[in-house]
Amino acid sequence: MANSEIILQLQNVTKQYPGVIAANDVSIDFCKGEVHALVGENGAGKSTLIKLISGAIKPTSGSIMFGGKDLTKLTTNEVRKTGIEVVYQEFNLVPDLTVYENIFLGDFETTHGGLMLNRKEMIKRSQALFDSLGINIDSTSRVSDLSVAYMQFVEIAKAISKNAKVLIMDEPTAVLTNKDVEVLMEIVKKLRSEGVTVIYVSHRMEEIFLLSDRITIMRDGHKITTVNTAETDRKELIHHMVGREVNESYPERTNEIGEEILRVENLSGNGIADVNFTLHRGEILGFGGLVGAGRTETMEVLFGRFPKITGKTFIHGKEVNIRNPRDAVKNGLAFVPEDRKTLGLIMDKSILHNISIVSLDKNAKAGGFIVDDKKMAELTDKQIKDMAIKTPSADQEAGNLSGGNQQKVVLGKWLASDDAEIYIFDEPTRGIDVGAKHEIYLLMNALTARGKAIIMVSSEMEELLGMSDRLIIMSEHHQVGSLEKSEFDKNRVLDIASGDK
Amino acid sequence: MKKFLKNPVISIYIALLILVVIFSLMSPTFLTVNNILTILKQSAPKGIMAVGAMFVMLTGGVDLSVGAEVSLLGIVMASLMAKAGWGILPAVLVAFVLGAVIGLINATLVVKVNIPPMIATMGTSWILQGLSYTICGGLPVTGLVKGFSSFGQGSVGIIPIPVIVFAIVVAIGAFILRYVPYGRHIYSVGSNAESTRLAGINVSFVRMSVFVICSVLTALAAIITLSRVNSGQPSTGIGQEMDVLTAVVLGGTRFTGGDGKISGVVAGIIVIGVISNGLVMIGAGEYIQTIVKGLILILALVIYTIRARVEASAKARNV
Repeated sequence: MANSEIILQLQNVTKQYPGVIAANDVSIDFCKGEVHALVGENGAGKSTLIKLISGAIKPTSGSIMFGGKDLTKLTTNEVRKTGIEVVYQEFNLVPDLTVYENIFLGDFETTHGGLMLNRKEMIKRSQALFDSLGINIDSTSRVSDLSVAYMQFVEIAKAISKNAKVLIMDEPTAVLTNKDVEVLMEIVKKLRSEGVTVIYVSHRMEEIFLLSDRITIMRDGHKITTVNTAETDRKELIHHMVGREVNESYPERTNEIGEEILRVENLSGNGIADVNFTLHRGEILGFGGLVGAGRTETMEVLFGRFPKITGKTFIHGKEVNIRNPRDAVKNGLAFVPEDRKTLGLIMDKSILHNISIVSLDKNAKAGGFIVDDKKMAELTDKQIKDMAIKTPSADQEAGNLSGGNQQKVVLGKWLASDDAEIYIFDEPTRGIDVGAKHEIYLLMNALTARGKAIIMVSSEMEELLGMSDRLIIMSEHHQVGSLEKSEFDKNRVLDIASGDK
Repeated sequence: MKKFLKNPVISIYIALLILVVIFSLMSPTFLTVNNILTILKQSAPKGIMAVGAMFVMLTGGVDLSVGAEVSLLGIVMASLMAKAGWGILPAVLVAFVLGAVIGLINATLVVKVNIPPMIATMGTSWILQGLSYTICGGLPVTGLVKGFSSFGQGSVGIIPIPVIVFAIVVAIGAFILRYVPYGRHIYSVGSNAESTRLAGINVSFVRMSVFVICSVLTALAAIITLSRVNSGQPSTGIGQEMDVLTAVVLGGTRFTGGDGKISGVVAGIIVIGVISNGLVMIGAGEYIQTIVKGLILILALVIYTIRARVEASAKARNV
């Protein structure tokens, strides 16, 4: 470390909940002007630490010293005033306001003694802020018109505009494509050079190594260790995180690609156009491209969530008309959406309720009139067992599960019904920790081994190349290319995805 | 206190018990078999409507037109019998059919046209109430078919027929919510309609059908009400939607849908009945009753909000 002045210090911080110790005697020193990565599996205690530092929760014992003050004695607002800002995974932007209004929200520049907004000044200052960060954004555009990546940038700019000395980023790149990640990394580097301390929570190994100066690893509420990034490697990190050896490579596949099962011709609608592809039994067809390229939108049209304008869909060579998700399900499609919390699950309902939902009508007794509770419980228990869903019981609310287990429940509802032949996975492992990721891959492979076909949208290059048999690449709402397995190459995919052929 | 708040059904029954104790202490005639049966008899039509209103609320909707529907259907039936000389059966059938049509109109406005349910049903409510005044010229319609009143005023043993009908409706409603796949889908739709739709469930059908169920049950309530009063009054139903709504929310049904139990709604409607009756017993006027009911609706929502907050913080602690 060039500059090792300690700016923020956690001293023996413990946070105890009834039955759980979310942070157990954690001591970490954060230095001025460093990028300090915080890593660990889901539930390791990273979010707890962020909440403790930001003042959202108070520790059971221990202190957090910043600029001579103990943050644990302050409220969230007081903590922010000392110069600590958090950029959360969930955006805190007002979508109907403009970019500059969001940046100055709660602290508007005014004229005439506070009577009038000083728009000019606010626009000027926010534009200067974006320029200094190297972000190309029009500060008068409405936030709702921005892509997810740009919303993230606005969040960051908003935090910086408050003259943050410590900036905490909670999985900032979880929603970004590789290209946007690069922009983000440039921003972080710039901040570091200006002496801002960045605490960086991420699951993505690649950027942790590219970006961070030091890494603190958390597991089960304990701080395992803090290491200098230059003195460690991926394998050691994962070993610390998981507490056991994990094979990070993609599991061996023994699928046999069979006959054509799905053919899509000239699909358009929901903002996308000209999508053509075929899918075969036992195959994983990857969909690559940048965020906003129209991959999710394509899946939504295919599954009938939004209407198509043109296009034909053939299943087993027979044309089918999918007007809504119900038609899709009837025709053997299953959808595991990217946003599993709002589109895949019913968060306030039990695992049993969630897994039963697809097969409830089919398995009803008395001519479809009475729910077969026993059968549903059996089907659910089978899924919990087969997929090793970690839960005390089938009655647990889906919202209480970790990301990986939630994803298994989403998959479980389709598997319990087992009518589907075509599974659409949209970002199957987003926000899921290393161990659970591997399990999801194994589940996908088990599906193809049974002759099912998979369409996988993924923004993780490694995953896309590691799991797919073939690739379709989209850019700006159109299909722009396809690659056979033999042609798989990271740079080639990026080239096509960014529009260069 | 937290546990008390967590189980809405138990807490509403405890509230009911406390109310009964208070009124019994204040009025010696309150806690008599006769008076209890009166309360139940008076509550029965609204209770039947509350079951329907609860189905609607479970899907995240609300139906404010049930009161006006009681007015209109009462006037229509009374006019058919007293003025057009129709028999009981055809008049009652017309009420059910009209009820279904009104339900379908509400359903279409809310689900197909996508108007917020509170506004859409407020609109239909005005139309229905206006129609009922128009049909009878604002005057009561008397001279119904003889024997019609035996339905609403009769009893089996000491149990009034309306109470028996209410019990049957409650039993069927509870059965549907607990054992029929459709009932399970109602909860799913209320909790997260889009997730449910993506699981291949016909969400539009579920959302529309509950409005029809609610309106048809309201038709049943209108028949009982007319039979009990034995004359068509154009203002019969005014304000009843508020009693029904209060009972449903008081009974622990989540205002945004997805959660609630019929046993709670039954208690909710009885609480409303006990308060109306008890206030009369202790000599409080009708105007006071209106104030009290408003207070209860607000109280019910306050409890609901606190409960939601307790649950949210319990969840935050789990993370």
